[in-house]
Parts: sequence; structure tokens; C-alpha cells
Amino acid sequence: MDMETNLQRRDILLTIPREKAELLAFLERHHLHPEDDLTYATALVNDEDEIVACGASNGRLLKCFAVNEDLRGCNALGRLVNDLTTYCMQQGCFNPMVVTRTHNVPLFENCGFSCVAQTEQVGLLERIPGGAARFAAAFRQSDDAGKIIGAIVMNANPFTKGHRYLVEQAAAQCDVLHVFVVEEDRSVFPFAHRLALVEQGTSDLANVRVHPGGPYIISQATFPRYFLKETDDAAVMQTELDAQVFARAIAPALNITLRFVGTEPNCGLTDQYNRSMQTVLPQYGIRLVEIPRIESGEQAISASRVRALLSQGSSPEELGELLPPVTTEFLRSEEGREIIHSLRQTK
Amino acid sequence: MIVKQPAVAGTLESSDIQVSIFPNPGNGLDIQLQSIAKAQFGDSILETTRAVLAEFEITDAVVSLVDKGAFDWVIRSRLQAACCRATESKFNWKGED
Repeated sequence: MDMETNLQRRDILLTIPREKAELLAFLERHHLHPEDDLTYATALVNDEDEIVACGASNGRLLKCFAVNEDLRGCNALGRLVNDLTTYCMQQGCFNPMVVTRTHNVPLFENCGFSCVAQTEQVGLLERIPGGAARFAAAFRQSDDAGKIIGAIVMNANPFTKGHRYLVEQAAAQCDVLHVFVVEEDRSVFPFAHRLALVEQGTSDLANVRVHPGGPYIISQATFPRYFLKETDDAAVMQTELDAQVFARAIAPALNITLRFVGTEPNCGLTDQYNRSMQTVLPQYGIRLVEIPRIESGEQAISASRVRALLSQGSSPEELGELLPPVTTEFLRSEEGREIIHSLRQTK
Repeated sequence: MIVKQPAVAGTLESSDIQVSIFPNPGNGLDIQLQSIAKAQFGDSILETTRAVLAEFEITDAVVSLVDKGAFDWVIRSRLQAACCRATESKFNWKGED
């Protein structure tokens, strides 16, 4: 008799310490070390109610899959994915995603996922076939043919004169410039405000189009680490995957041939991003253009510098050298003051 | 009929098929099939899919089919259920032969 039929499905209640510990112990046996952000978990259990396979999720990302050796080939993964996908859809997310090692990509393809892009090490899959290309194609306009089209991705946490300068310089080098604002809400400044500030702060530049980044920007926060080994360089894996997603799924839908970035003298991770893009993008006919950052007081203007100064007690008015008027104005609003307050609290 | 919302019917369990329908306004039909029996039954599954979509007069949709060896009448039923959910319409029992 087929083994899978003996197994019962059981939700793992993460709010109950005993159940969570049981899940973590099972993952530990599979050498997986989940980040502490799981919001839903499900398992298959045997007659003794022991976990023999599990999977979990955080928002749209399905993760922490593990199946006991003797169950492989019994479609245990299919049952877990089925359950997690249904849960996601009930929560209103119709396009759950998976980041996994490249050799496991076909396993998820057999469960109805489509590969968006992959590197030698990791791949991104999504539930809606061609979702990434369709997402990007919505930003295409009928008269875009034959134009020089460029792109920038920014978090703008918050929008500074540095961002403004980067957009101006880039916009001068192309006919259409797409600016994608990182949508994930794990920054001090909420996405809606970051997007609005970039929109308002660039509204005078006729060839600039500002868009939400959607789920297709693989940020440090999105990239799951549970399956990494100690020898893996998470930053390289994450940034190369991000570059692949951009090059394979987003850029072709919009005929993007130029990607602009600021040079990065201070932040190691952003520097790694730029190096990964330099490796990946030219393979797809996309040129990476690095634009030197503008400085103020002999230091590059960056959002992290702005946040540091705000948390140390600087008022928005004192940061006039670093911030465009739209951002200063926002920081004076009630919502802006609350963000400054929280910055000072968490300092 | 218009696909008003994403909809799913069926599971990934053995002998079933999971049908997902997503809106695709103005861009026609995009049908993606994954099947453990694609070589033998791929064409027949796609034929059934197009027939059911035609019955519902669905002309714009992304349809994802993940087949785990379902019989044709299972495929047809899952498709009908997904179409009803996606178009927010009730199934026409009188239309069955």
C-alpha cells in the first residue's frame, strides 16, 4: 500500500511552544535553521503523530520544506504545497512564491509552480505562470517601441537628494526611465510613503515612471536563509538571484537595456549588489551604469545617513542639505514625526 | 464570461488535477500544463480545457493545470468548478447532457 495514504495532515500551531519546538526539532534533523518569521506551518504525521514532512510560510513566501528520506517519491511535497497554497489564497495572496536550491526547482514545478529565474545555486518560483513578465508588461506604453529604456530600483528609506540626483542623471541618458520602489514593508518608512515621496520628488521629470517593485525584488529581507550552509555566502546568492530575476523576467517585458545604480563606497551589501549585477546583466544585453554619489560635507548622501542623523536628534530642517523639499515636508507632518519618534526610540 | 478573480479547484493529490484560473484582460488564453502523463494525455487534457473554457465563453485567462493522473471527467469537473468560481457564476445543471 502506498505510504502517503497512511499519513495525516496536521497544522502546527506556532503559538504553542511545544508544537513549535517539535517543528524546529524536525527541521534541525534535516539541517535546516529557519528564521524566526514563520506565520503558518503544516505537517504530515505518521500513526504515532510524529512529524515526517513539513512546510511553512511567511506571507507570500513558502519555506522550510523538509520530507523524511523514506517518504521521497510519494508526493508528500505536493500535499504540503497544496495546503500552504490554499492557506495563502485564503489570506488573499494568489501568487505564493518559493526560493529554493536550484536542484530542487523541478520538485516545485511538479507542484504547479513556475520558475521565474535561477542562478547556479538558487531559484525563485511563483504560482502564476509568467506572473513576473505580466507584472512588468503592465508598465509598458504603446509608444515605447524603439526608445532607449532604463531602470532604477530603490528603497528610498527615505527619498534623499542622492536619489533625486541619481534619477536626474539616469533620466538624462534615456528616453524612458522606470523607477521601481522596493515594496516590501520592512523599512522604517512605510512603502506607501516611500512610493509617494519618490513620485512627488520626480514628478517634474517627464520621462520618469515610478512603480511599486512588486514581489520581484529579492531583498535581504525576502531572501530565506533556512537552507543555507555555513559555507554559503548569502549576500552573493541573494544579489545574483535578484539580478537574474530582473534580467530574465522584468527587463525583457519592458525592453530595458540600461540599469542605473549609485556607486557604493560605504555599504558592503550594496557594493555586492552592484558586483552581482555587473556579472549577470551584460549576459542579457543590459548595461550597468554606475553613477557617482553626490556628497554633502565630504560624505556621500545616503538614506542611512539621514536615518542616523534623525535618530541622533537632528530636525528635518537641519537636513536641508540632504533632503529634497518633499521629504522635509513629509517629516514635518504628523506621520513623519511619528517615524522620527520611532527612530529615536529604537536607537 | 469575464474572469473576475483568481480561482482554484482540485488538489495536488494522486489522481486529481489542480486547476487555477487568473485574470488576463485583453491578452487571450495562456494555458500551462504540467502532467505526469503529458506525453500520453497532454493533448487530450488541453482539448478538454479549451472545450470547457469555450462552454463558459472565457476568452481571456491564464490557466494553470497541474495534473496528477486525473481521469477526463475529473478534469472536466475541476475545470467547471474553477470557471464558476473565477467568473462568479452558478453552474448550469440543466446544460448537462
